[in-house]
Amino acid sequence: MSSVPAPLARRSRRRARGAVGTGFLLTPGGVLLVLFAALPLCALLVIGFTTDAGSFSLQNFAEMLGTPAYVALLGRTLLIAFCVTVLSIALGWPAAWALARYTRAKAKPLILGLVIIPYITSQLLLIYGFVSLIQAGGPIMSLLSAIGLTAPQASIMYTPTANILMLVQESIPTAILVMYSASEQINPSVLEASRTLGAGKAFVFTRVVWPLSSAMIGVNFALTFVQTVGAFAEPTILGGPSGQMLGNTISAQLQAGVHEAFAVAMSLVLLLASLAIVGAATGLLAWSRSALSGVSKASRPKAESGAAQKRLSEDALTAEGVLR
Amino acid sequence: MKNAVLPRILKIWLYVALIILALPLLSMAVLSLNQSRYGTFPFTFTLDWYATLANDTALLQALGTSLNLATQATIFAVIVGTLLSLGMARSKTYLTLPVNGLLLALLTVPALILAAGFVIVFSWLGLGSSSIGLILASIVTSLPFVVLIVTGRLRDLDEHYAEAAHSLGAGAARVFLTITVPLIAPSIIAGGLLAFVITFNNFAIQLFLAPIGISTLPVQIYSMVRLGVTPDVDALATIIILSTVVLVVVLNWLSGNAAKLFTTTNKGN
Repeated sequence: MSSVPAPLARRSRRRARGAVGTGFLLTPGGVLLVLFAALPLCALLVIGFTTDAGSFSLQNFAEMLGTPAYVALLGRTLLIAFCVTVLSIALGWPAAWALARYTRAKAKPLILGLVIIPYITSQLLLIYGFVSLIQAGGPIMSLLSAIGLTAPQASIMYTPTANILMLVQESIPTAILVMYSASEQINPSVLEASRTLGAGKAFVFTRVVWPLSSAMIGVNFALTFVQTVGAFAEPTILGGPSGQMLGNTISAQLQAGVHEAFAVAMSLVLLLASLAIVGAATGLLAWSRSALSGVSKASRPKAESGAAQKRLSEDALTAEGVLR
Repeated sequence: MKNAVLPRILKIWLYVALIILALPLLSMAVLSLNQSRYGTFPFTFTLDWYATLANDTALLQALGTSLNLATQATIFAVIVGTLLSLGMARSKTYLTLPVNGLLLALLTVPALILAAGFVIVFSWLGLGSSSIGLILASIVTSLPFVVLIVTGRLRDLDEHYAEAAHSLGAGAARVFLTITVPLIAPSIIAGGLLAFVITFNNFAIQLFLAPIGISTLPVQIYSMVRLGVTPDVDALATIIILSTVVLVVVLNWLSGNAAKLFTTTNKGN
């Protein structure tokens, strides 16, 4: 009885050593994350809710939400981010669909490469190229004036339009990549089946394609909206006086280093508002999915819908990660 | 062939989208070879701007700073991220859940707001506007990408290889070095490349955290573009974009499909 079989004994020792090893593996990353992810986010909350004197108050939030100019700026920022997100998905989805369905397998890596190059190019270089493109006397404007559409020195630089076009330009690669994954995930035989069963094009889209894609549309919406809502370089460089966003104000105040708590409070309001909009959009998409797919939630087995929910959230996590 | 109209329209849509995406990049390439100081036409071929770039110390120094920063941050992010992934693969949910939550928060909070948080914490810790602060912030913001890619690979790993090695008498260290590391090496390389690209481009973090007097490339371009465009920046941009093209081609050649890196969800590979 005293002699435990050798492999078992070794295994228990190995497991004990494994626990120490796991702690060793987790420590560096854990310390970094606690100090430089958890702490900064908590710091934002603390600073946002304190006065310059250091006591707790809602003064910063009251000041922001009580100033019509800031509320209007917040509204405009959310509106711009919403329009940019919807536009980029609307422009990227058909391209992604063509890439997933109607492109030869050999050409796919090449085309995806062409999408990835602007995707991983520095945002500032893209802005720079865009400015060189649309400035007065640049390629686009000289082309337009050669046709006689605009005056030779006219340009859309320093207008809200330029800002929005730039943000859409930056968001399209994300939209193509995410919606490409979504389009690839739809089994072609499902589309085939609905067609052979007599469904028209519009019916196939609303009842099959949309419900199957809406989860990824939600992921795409979240990714692009959150990125766009915090934009400040684009409006600063391209937007002109009437194309500013809340990010400009926040970054200017942070850089100046005065009234930091107010800038932080604005960031928190912006973060909260954008999370609320992303949540609402995701909820709306989920509702449209169940409403259009013709399967009511009640009739679906509970376990299955739970599993689907879990899979969805896992997918969202991975996609968010891999797609910046 | 009656149904072929929609596919054709969508394909044209795809090509138009690709052209629109390429336009700013092509514009810089063309203007870098054009004589005009202000990027205007008619086009006259010259290589002068590349010669000007070779003498532009501010721009080249900024490029050096960026490459240096991205390299250092990537090395740390890859080591820490790989260890974290390996640790999380063996941990229970009560440990992985908060870690995943923090990683997700780093990905979903806009960079500007994250930068504000870093500024506050670094000034508390006495690291305000130091290179160490900048590197730490870069490591932390690129960490999630390394962890997600390596974790995805670990999840797909066949445990039987390690078990076979164990039962053939290999110790834990030997199994790790000769079985696990080679199997996850592609994902470590991929995560590292992604981390490099992300730290190189992380403008908001760099703008707020770079020490006074030191500019990274995005910060330098930000201060230059507000004064108007100059063709030597176009020349530098063209060189960077060509390097990106080479990178994507090499990745394609290594992995068969570079796009997988950026489009993979956790289904299969």
